[in-house]
Amino acid sequence: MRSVRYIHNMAYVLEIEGLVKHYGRIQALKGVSLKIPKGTVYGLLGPNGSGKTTMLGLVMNILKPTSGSIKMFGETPNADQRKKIGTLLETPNFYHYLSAVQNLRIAAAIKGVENPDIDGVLERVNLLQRKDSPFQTYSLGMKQRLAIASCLLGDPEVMVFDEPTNGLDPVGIAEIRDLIKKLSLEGKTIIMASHMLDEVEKVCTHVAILKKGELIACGHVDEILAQDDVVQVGADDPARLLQVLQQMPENTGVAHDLEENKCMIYFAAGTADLGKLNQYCFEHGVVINHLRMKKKSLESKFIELTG
Amino acid sequence: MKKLLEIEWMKIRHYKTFWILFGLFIVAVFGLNMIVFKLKQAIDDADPMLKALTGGPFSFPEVWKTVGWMTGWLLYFPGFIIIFLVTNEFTFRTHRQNIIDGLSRKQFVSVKLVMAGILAVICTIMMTIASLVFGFASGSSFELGNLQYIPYFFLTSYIYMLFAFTLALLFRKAALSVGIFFIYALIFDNLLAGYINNVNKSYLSPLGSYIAPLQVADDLFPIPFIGKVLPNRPELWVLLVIIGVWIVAYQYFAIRKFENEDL
Repeated sequence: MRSVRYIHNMAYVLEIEGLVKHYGRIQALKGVSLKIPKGTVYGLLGPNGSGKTTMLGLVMNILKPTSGSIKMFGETPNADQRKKIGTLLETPNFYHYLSAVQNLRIAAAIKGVENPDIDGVLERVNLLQRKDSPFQTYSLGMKQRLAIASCLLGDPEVMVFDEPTNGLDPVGIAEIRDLIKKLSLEGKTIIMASHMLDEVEKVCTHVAILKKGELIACGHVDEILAQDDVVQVGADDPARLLQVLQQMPENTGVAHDLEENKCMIYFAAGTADLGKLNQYCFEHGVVINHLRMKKKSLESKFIELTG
Repeated sequence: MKKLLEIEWMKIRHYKTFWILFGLFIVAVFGLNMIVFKLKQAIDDADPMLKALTGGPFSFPEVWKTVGWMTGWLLYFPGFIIIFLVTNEFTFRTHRQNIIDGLSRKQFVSVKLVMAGILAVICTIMMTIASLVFGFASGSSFELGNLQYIPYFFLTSYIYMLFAFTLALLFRKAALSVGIFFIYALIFDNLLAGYINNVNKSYLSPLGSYIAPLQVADDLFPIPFIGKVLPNRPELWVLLVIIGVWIVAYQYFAIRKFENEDL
């Protein structure tokens, strides 16, 4: 069964309507409409160049839309609203000759945060021991952490992370994903752009999928990224096996993998029962010599959605 | 605006290039004037004819014009400073981040224009101090007169700063902006002005030449040592009006450009 969770009494932090952006003859966004409810971790998923950053740039007023409208907290966006959103867009942007602390002081002053807890946010991203080093001496991963620390200044209710794990090592990636989950548990609304499906799946509650400037799907992660169970089955007579599998109840599809000369049978997520499958085949005169549960790879799912 | 200026101060306080250029500018203001001052002394000692011909450029009240004209040649330094302060934001992409963090586009560009004004004020203070120093050093006694050259120097400086600012906003890259600023201010502005003066000798000259952005500011200060005023110069109020038009035009262009384009 699909689990459909609706958030009632919905307040939107962001409402986008028919957003279009052209760069000369290139159409980066072709009329995207999207509503992001409060309290969600909303993933914007799409391959490079699909329009994720363009969309966020338009929301943050560093790009000018060709047409369409944006509402932030129910109002036309303005500078004061941006102060209440922690945003990392595209790359960490800091003054190269200043230290982490000096850079964060500037960000806090712009945001109007009184007495910013600079050590606190640096601690949360594991950067405290390098807080006085100039930004230009940082590795890519450290720069990325500093950008995330800057987003945390003033404890904003809404955060926007564009490819937050870019440039991080596996440990760093896990730490940042944990941090985002914790922020989500604190009730923050998080908008996260990513080209990595598993990242969105692990972190987000909602997802919107962009492809070449168009929104091709949006909704709850479980709905959009629902995965079928896949079972790989082998027998001496694959053609006969395929016939039997096709007749088996509850399957959502069968396929013949010619390369491995095996058959595949699909079931709705979590419903595949290998014992039952084996018994069914045996009862219909096919002896199975290979039986393996295979999840459909996320990448193939992603390619299927966007390809 | 106070808050915005505090933020600008946080950006430049630890910016070494700024302080080095700034220090060089101060040294150069006194250095250049000192060289010419010593040269004039040597000429005076050597030849009474030449002494009479070149007059007393460092005595009050002539000194304001002389030091003003010479310090004008050093306005490249504060111009470079403005270029670096603006192109840094583009290079580090902090012009985007400042907006993302909550400055309005107008605030971002306005405070930079005010910074250009502040730099022009600092240049004017330097020119004033240098004028006093060399005026007294020449042995003349202080007299009121030609003090209007202090505000004129401010206008000249502000025009140079705004021109540098505009180049930085257009080209976004430090090296390119600095190169164009230097070559243009040194050579092409005069070439352009001269060319325009030649084409319409009969009527618009020299007003037409004030299309060259720095010409009108240069014309505020007569060339010292060679005589009184440039022969072909309109009345002062005309110069001041044209300077006013340029200042408004630069600011209008900067704010409009930054408010309307993709950053």
